[in-house]
Amino acid sequence: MVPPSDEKALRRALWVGRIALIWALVIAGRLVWLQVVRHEDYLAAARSQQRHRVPIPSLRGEILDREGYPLAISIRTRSAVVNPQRVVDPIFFSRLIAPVLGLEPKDLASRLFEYKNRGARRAAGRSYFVLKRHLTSEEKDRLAQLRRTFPIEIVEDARREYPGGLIGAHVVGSIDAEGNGNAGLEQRLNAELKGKAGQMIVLTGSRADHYISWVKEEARQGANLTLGIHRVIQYEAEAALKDGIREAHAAGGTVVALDPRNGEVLALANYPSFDPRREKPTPAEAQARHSNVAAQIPCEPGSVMKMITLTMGLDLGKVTPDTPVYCENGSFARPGRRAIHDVHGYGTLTAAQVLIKSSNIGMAKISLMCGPRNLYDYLKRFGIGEKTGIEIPAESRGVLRPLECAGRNDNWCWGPNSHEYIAFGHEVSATAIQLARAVSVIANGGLLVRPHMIIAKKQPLGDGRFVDIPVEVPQPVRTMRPETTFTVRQIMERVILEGTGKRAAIPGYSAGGKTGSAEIFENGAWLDLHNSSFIGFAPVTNPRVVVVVTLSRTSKQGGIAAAPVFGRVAGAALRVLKVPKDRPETDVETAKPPLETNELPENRIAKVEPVKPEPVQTMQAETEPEPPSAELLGPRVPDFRGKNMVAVLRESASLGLDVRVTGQGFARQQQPAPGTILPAGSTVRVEFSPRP
Amino acid sequence: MAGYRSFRDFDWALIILAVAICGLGILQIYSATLDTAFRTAWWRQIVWMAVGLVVMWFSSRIDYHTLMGQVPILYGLTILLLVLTPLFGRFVWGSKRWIPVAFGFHFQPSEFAKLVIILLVARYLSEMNKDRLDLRDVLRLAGLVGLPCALVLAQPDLGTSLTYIPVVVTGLFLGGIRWQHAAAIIALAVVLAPVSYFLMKPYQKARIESFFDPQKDPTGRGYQVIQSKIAVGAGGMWGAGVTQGSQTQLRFLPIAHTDFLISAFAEEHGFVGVLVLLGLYFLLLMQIVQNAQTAPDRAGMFVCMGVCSILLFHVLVNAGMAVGRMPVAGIPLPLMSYGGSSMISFFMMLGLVHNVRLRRFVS
Repeated sequence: MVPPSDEKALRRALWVGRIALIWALVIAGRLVWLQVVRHEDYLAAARSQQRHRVPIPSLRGEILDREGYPLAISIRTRSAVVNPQRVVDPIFFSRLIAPVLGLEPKDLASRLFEYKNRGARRAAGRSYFVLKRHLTSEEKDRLAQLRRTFPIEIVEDARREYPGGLIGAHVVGSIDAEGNGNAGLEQRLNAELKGKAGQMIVLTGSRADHYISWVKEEARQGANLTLGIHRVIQYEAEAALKDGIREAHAAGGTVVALDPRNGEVLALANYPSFDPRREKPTPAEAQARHSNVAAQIPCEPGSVMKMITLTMGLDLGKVTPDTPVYCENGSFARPGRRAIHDVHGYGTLTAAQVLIKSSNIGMAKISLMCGPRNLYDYLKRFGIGEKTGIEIPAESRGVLRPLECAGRNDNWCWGPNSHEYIAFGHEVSATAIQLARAVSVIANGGLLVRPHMIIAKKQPLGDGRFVDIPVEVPQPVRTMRPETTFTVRQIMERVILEGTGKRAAIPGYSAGGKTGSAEIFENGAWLDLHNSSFIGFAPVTNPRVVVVVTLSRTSKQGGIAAAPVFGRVAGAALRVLKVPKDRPETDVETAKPPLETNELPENRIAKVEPVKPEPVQTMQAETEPEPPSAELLGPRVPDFRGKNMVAVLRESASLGLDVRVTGQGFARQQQPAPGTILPAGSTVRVEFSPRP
Repeated sequence: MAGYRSFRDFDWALIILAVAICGLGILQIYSATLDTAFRTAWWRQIVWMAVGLVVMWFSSRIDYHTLMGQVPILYGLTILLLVLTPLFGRFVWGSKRWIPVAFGFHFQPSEFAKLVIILLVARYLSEMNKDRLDLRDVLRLAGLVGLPCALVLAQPDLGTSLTYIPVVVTGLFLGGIRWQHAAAIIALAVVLAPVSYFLMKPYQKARIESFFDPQKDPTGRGYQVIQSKIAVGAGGMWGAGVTQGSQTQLRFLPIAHTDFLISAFAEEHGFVGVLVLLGLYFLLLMQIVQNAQTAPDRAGMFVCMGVCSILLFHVLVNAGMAVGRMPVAGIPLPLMSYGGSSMISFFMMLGLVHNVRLRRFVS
């Protein structure tokens, strides 16, 4: 009951209390300083030592042909990673893990040691080491056993595959080691294909052995692109181009197939080509990879330009197809001017015959009737001298010099008789794409279209659904009266029927075209080599395909070297597009050896593989009881089993069969069964799987 | 006599405050040890708290006068145990502090010594029964406490040995030390401090150095203080929330369930949380002071004030350490930091307070 004796003790107790209070206030003040005043700084300090940003790679979009067949796809793979900090004994670890993944144990161990010894400041870098990318399922299975003992993680990864192999290499392009496009559409639309990498915030523990991670930003997948390219047409274009170049001994060449109605590119091939799958291309391949001749390198079109000159004359009403034009018997010499020559001398030709016979003098005279101003105007109406806008990097606008001279010493503008030469394709340059666009104007009845490769874009949402991204293609612009183009088409059909382009004929279809052979002027001399070309469309009444073929540095004329390539490519396109035949096939058969397209692939197969397949096939054909009916109905389904995808596509393209493939590797199953007779254009399903 | 000491006479406010502090401690231990080797610590702590409450009840049973009568025996026993500790002790983190007892449990004599010193100081000063202390008395008391102090320091356990000093200081102060003597002792301490620095173990020197300049070795000696300050600062006004403190959860904060528990608490509960916690301690201490004021005699007052001072010292040093205002001394936060010995020892001290309180109506 009695409190401690005196007040003195109480007073002293108060002193103790005061000292304690001061102490407590110091701590409280410190807490205010740390937690209230400088809270943001300390929070930032905490974050900076805990948080690490790890990018989540987005899956690169697919590039598909017009039927959804993949030309470039990204495949989800798995990669093995390890936290080196958790590897107790790198040498032991490497000795067991390296052989499973096909790595060198010593290299692996030294890399792990290097990671383990990294400073604390690089906590994220030192706790993440990629053992091997793109594991095979076998490696994955073997790792599954070892993961019980070792701290190996399997993470998601992606690899770029080109299922078509070389098919469409120049269209699709390729990617570099970092996953960025370095050619073709892969380069041009890199941003869209790539998508946007997501970000993962990883909170790493102090000893780099503990994680808390969460996804901050989901990766946006790359858009899937559907091209106007059809793989069978594309394959046939490449094959025909290659054969054409070999037969003409040309240095290179290009083929463009366009749908004239809307400008969709059905096929685009250049030679030499390259293999997009090769990570380290040879110098020659690297060169080919980065030069898309069809869009980037213009050349003098030569006689194919006459199509435009004649159209101008007809459209302006200066000539009719039957207007007589005197062709000076092969040499048009005027005082003070360079003489214009024809290969064959002609007297008086009709305007139509001037094109059919390809008379330079006749064309120059038509151009003289119309004047340079009109010629320049009509070249523009055909899109010459301006970029087409196709989705190919570094497209060339070609060469169309300005009509008006800027001054007295301006040598770049048109001279006093430039329009005579331009009338038959000299002093002007155009790319294959530009020519295809120009032919489309004739083929579609007078509309200037925008050549383009992408016909649809889809944005994957990550949950299996897609959102369509609108593809903006400008409306075709009318630049010509349709009546004029009908007339020109009929005249161009006669080029193939009776003129310089007879070898371009397509069995079963009508077609129109124009040959071209521009001499090459190099180092101050005319070479005995040509840029041989053929432009054309089919069928004549309602053209569905425009094909431009250019072969560079060949001794052969366009009508000899380029025309057959046109025939093959256009023929394949018409079959694939299921265009009804407008000519009796037998008619052509009697006129020309009809088996050209059927025979050539067989010959090639015979060359590639030893003698075996051919006799077997002929044996089967002979033992079949009713071969004639088979010919009437359509092609016989070949035995695809055991062949790789390229071989299957090659064979089906030559037969006009549509193939739907699944899987990769080698053909395992097919439906219908081999030997079944199908109508042309039917679909065969082929299932592929890797070799066991 | 027994009739007066019913449950109703217990200081329920004191008990509720103590259990509340324990509860916060258990919550924080749970959060700080999630997913670690110590993840079972939180329920062990509950068991220790229950044991502590029982021990508190026992230590309030025996009259503190009786206990003070046995101080010579208790003191002798303590010295013996402290001498035995280095011989039979378990080696943990570079020092021998625990001696094994039955069933795999370990006993920390230096914790037990705190109680003995409280009783010792109370008896010594109450037997003086005078207002002014002679220098001889001061030195004798200092010598009596200095012996166990030195033995604990030799374990080595600087932190625990320091906790004995406030009991003596408070006792001497309340007992009537002369100002001149106090000044002389302070002066001597100031002079001896640099000397003692040279007698310290290297790890102790490093602690002192890192206190004055933590950035000197941010990944080594200064690491604990820097990380503790970051944790406290990152907590901000309201804190990150239970189990949400990234400094704590990612183990940047060292020994977050024992010595740096308050840093973890500050990160997850913020400035407001720490103020509430310190407020609880303040109320607890005031409750003890109130018991000191109503103590039946000087001895009872000294017992209560001894308990009060030792608790206060623990709280202030531990909190000061967490905010970088005290060197890292290995002093636990009373009733909160994980550990059976300190838990039981603090509840025994609270038992002594009750012991005094229950006898306040007896003259």
